[in-house]
Amino acid sequence: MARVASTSNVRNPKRFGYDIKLDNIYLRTAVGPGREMTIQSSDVQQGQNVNVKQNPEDFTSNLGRIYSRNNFSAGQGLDTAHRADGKPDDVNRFWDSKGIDVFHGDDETAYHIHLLYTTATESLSFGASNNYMTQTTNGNIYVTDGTTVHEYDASTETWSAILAATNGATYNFTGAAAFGNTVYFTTADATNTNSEFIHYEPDGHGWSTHNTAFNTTGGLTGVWFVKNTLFVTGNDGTAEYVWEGDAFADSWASAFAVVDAIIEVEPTHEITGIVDGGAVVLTASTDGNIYSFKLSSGVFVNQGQTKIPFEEIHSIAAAEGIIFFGTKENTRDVGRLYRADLVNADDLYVLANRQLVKEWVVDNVDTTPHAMFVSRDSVYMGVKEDTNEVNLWRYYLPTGGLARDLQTVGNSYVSGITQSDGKFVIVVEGSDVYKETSTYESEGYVVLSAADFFTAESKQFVGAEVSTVTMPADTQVSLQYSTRFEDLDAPESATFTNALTQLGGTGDEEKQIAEVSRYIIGKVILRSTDGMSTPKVKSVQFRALARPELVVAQIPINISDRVERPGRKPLKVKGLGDTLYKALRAKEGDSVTLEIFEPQEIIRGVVEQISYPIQSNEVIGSDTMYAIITVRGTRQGTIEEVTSIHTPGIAAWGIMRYGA
Amino acid sequence: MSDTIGNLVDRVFREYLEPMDSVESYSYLTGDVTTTTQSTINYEEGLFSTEEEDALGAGAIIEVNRELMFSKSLNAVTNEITVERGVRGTTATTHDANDIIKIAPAFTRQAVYDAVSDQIKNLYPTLFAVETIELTASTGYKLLGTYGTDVDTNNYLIAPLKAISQYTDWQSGSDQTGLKYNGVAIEMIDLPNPFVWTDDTQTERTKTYTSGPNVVHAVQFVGISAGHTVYVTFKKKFVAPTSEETTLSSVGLETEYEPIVMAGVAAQMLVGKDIKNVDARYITEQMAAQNYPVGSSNSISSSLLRYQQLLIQQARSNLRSKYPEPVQLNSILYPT
Repeated sequence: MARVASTSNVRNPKRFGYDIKLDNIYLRTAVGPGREMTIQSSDVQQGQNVNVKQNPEDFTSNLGRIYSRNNFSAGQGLDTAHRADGKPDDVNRFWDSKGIDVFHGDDETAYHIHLLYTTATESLSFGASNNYMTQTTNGNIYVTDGTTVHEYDASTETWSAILAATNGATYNFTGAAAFGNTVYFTTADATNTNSEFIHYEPDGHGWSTHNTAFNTTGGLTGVWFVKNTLFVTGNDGTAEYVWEGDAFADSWASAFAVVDAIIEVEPTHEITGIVDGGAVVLTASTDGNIYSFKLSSGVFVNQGQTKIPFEEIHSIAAAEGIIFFGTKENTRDVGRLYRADLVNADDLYVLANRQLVKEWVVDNVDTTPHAMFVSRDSVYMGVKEDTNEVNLWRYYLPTGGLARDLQTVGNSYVSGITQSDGKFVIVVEGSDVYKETSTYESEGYVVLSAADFFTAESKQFVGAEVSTVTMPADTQVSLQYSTRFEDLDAPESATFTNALTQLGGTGDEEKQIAEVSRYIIGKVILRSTDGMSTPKVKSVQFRALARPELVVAQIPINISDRVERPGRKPLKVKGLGDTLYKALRAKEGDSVTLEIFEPQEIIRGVVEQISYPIQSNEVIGSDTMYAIITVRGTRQGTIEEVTSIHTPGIAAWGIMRYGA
Repeated sequence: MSDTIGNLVDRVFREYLEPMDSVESYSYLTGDVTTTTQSTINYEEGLFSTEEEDALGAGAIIEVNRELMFSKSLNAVTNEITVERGVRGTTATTHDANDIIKIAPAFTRQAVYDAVSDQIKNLYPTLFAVETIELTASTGYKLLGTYGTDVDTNNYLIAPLKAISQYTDWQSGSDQTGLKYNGVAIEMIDLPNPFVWTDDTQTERTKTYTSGPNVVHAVQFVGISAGHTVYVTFKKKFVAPTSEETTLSSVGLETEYEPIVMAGVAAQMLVGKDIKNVDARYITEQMAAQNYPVGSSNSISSSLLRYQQLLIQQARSNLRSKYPEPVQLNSILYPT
C-alpha cells in the first residue's frame, strides 16, 4: 500500500524532490502554468476597535497612523498611550519628565512645554537638621537651625541670623508657626526634659517666653497656626498630645495640661502636620491616622479620624476641597501621595474616595513626600529621589496631573516650601535653603507613554516630528525614541535613538526613522546652553505603518498516483494519490507547521482550506491530479539544518535548534 | 565508441533514452543473486524515495540487467522483494551485488538490446560487412568453413568482391617482394544446407550452418592451379550478436556505423511512445549536435529515422567507392 512520505521514513527530503513539509509529512507540489504557488501577506486591517486618534496630528491624509502629543498638562504616570479603558485626559498625559514645566506656557502665553528654572542655594549651610520654616504676613521667612533662627527679609532679599539663646530660646527648635508678623516656636532639649513655647516679634520687640511648664514631663514637638488658632503638640513619653491655644489672647501660662489635649496619640508616633481642611482641622500623624478637629462650642474636639493602613503620614495639605497627604510605608522607605475627599458621615468627618496618585520606589532612598505647599493652582511637595537630588513634585489642580518640578541638590527631606516674590523657597533638612532662580535648566526631558495603537503586532515606525515655537538662539530640541518598553523606567537608557535634533525654526518636518516594534517610546529633550532662553515645544508625533504579520500560502499539491521526482522518469504508484489526499484532508483546520523548501519559508498557522482534487488541464495532455491547500499563519525565521558542527561546544556554544 | 554490444546498448541509453537528468528510478542490489531460481532480492533503500519504494510492491515489474522480474511482495523494512524470475520473455540469470535495479523501466535493457541486434541485422543490404578469407585453390569447389556444425560465420557471406593470388606456393623463407598479386576468377556457389560430401580420405563429411542463410557456401576458382593460396574478399551480412559481450568487430560493424545503429534503436524505441518533454529536448539537442536539427513539425521518431537514413547514405557511398561492384560473366567474377 502506498505510504505518505514523512519524517519517519525520509531522511533527506530535498534529495528526493519533496517540495514542502506539512508537519511531519513530505509532499510534492504540482506547480505549473495556471496552478501557481502563492505566498502573500494577508491584508492589513486598517480599522481598529479602539479609537487611537486623539489629536489633530493623529488625523492624516497620508499613509499610516500617528501617535502624537500636543498637551502634557494632565501629568505623568501613563505608561501606555492607547488602552481600551482610557480616560479622556489620557491624550494629555505622558510617562515621566524632569526639568520641564508641562502644565502651561509661561507668562500667559499659549500652551507649550518649556524648561524649568534652576534653584540655587542661599548658603545658610545648616548645622542641624531641625529646620522648620514659616512665613509671616510681611513676607519674611523664618527658618530654624539648632537654636538659631535665620530670618529672610523679603524687602531686601537678604538673610540674617537671630540668636535666640540669649533671648530665652535655650533649646533646639521643634516647630515654628507664623501669626501675623509674629513667629511662635516650640523648643525642647534632647532628653525632652526641658522645653519652651516662645515667640519672636520683629521690629525690636524680640523674644518672649510663654510657657515652660511642660518641661518637667516631656517636650513640646511642634506648633501650627490654623483657623486662627495655634495648635501645639508635645510628648511626655506617655502620649503625643495636641493642644489648642488662642493666639490673640497670648496667654499660655496654664496651657499644655494633659487633660486639655484635644487628642492623645501613642507616644512612639508624632504629629506631622495640621492643616485647614475646610470644615475641620486635619491633623496627620505617623500612627497612620488623620484626625478631624471640629470647632464645637468654642473649642476644637476630635470629630472623626481616618486610618490609612500600613502608612505613616508625613505631610498633609488641602486645596479646593481635596485633601492630599504624603505617606511612608510602615516598614519600607516607599513614599506615596494620596488624594481624598473630606466627607461628613454620621456627624463624623472622615476622608473618603482615597486615591493613590503616585508611589515612589527608589532603592535605599526614603521617598516620602514632605512639606506640602498649596498655591493658587497647585500642590507642591518635596521628594528625595537620590543622594543630592531632592525635587519638588507638583500636583496641578486644574487637570489633576502630577509632574516633577523644581530640582535641588539637597540631600535630605524637604521641611518647608513657600514662595517669595514669585520664586520658590525650599528648605532641605540639614542642607540649606534653595531658591528658584531666573536661569533655565540646561536640559530637561519628557518621556512619552509607550504607544502601540492598541495592537500587539509589530509596526513599522517611519517618521518623527516635533513642532516648536520659533527656537531662540542657544536652544535645542531633540526627539529620541526607544522600542523597549522597559525604557519607560530608564530615561537615560542608551537604547534611546535620536530621531532628530532641532536647532532653529519651528520644526514641523517629519524625519525618517526605521524601526519595527510593537511599541515606540518617545523622549523629548529640551536644552538651553546659556540658561537665558528655553525652547518651547508645541507637539510631537510619530508615524507608523501597519505591517502584515499573517501570510497566506496557497500551494497546489500533487495528489496523483504519478510521481515525478526530479532527475527521474515519472513513476506511477497505485493508490498514492488517494493516500495523499486523505492525509491532507486530515489536516484541514489543524494547527500546522508548513515548511516550503524553495523559497525557504516556514509558516506556522492553520490549514484554512483544502480544495477538492482538481484534475489539471486536459488540453495540454497532463493527467496530474492536485489539490490546493491554503495555510494562513505567521512567517517564522528560516533555520539552518543542524550539522555536526552545531554540536554544543563546537560551533554553537549550546545554541542550536532541535526539530522544526 | 563501443567495443561490445553491451557498450553500444549503454551508449543508446546514455545518448538518447535516458538523459542524466531523467533516468529511471533505480537503486542497486545489496547482495549477489547467485542462482536463476533465487526468489528474493535485496536492494539499497537510500536511493529510492518512499513512493519509489512503494512502487516495488506486489505487481511491479523490476529490471536487473536484462532480466525482468515480477514483484510478488515487498518488505520495506528489510528492503527485500520476493520476485518471479525471468518474466516477459527474459531469461533468469545470476546477478552481482551493486547491479542496478530499476522499477518498471519504460525502456527495458532487453528491448534495447534486441533493437540493437535488429538494427545491426537490418543494415544489410543497404550496407554490408566485408571479410577477406584465405583459401587454397583446388580443382573443384571449395567449401567455406570446416565440416561439422556452424563454427564460423561464413554463412553470412553473400558474394565475393574480389580474389587475388600470387599464383605460386609460398615457400618458407622465400623472397616474397618480387612477386605481384593478380586477380583470380572466382565463382561462388550455394549448396544445400546441410551439405554432405566424401573427402579425399573417402570419409563422408557434413557441413551444416545452424544460423544465417539456409545454404552452404562454396567457391570455385578459374584459371589457377590447385594448391595456390587465394585471398578472397567477400561481401557479408552483419552477424547477429549473441550476447552483450559480443564485440562489434565480430559482427562486422565498423565504428562509423555506431551512430546509424543508435539512431535506429532510438527511433525504434520511441515510436508510439509519450515522450517526456525533457527527453524530447535532450534527443533534439543530441541530433542538433550532429548537425541534424529537428524541425518543429517533425516527430522525434521520424526525425531519427531520417537522420539514420542520412548516415546510411553517407556510409553506403563510402562503401561503394571502396568496394565497386565486380564484373561477372556466367556467375563467374573476373578480376578488373
